Amino acid sequence: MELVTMEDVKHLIVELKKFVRISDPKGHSTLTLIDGKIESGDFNFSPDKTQVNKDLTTGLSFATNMRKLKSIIKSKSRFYRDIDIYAVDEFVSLPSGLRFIKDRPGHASLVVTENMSTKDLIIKLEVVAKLLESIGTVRVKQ
Amino acid sequence: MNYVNDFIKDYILYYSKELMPSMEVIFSQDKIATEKEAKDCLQFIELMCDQCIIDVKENKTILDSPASSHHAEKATMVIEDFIEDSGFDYLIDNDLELE
Repeated sequence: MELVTMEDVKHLIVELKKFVRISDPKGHSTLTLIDGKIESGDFNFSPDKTQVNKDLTTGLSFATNMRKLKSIIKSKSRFYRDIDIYAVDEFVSLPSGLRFIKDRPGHASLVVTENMSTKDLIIKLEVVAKLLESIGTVRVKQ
Repeated sequence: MNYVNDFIKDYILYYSKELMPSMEVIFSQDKIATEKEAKDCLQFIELMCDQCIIDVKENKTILDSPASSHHAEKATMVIEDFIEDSGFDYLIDNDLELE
């Protein structure tokens, strides 16, 4: 496992203006399944979770500046020592119905822009995962 | 609080009731009014994450979903945004030490 430094990530985020995704160690970069079901906290699902509703206010988190990056890593380090880092270009061609929105300082969300089935969302998130570049792993001192 | 889906909102309120009932009033406001309230929010984040670790270990179900660190992380981000939006961002410690 190759450990990367904050300088490596700083280059991506500050100089190359990439969006950075922080993920569980050895986990999936875009798709979080809990007991085989898609995670509830990222998108706006129908009550039976078979459909996902268009919602521009909630989505997968990406850091767009160093302050937010550190904040997300610090939050995740409460649960994991090793944290995987991925990067993607802001203007990458995304599957239909998905879009990046810069919703806060230092933060972008990958949001759903049209109603779709949860099954379709999972397929699209698999496609997005292939568009992300794996940068490596950071290990937080504990 | 802004930028919060219904599940995460319910998740925050669930742990408020369980761990620190005084937070419910603070979370119902548009803004945090005082530095003391902002510090209480930070304390609540620590309590919520510690409890989440316990709940995951005990395979508990929270709001019809298996306990998961993802929910606590998302909730943390929402509460930190709330603190920042209220002008108390200087209280959030983002210092990181990597190996």
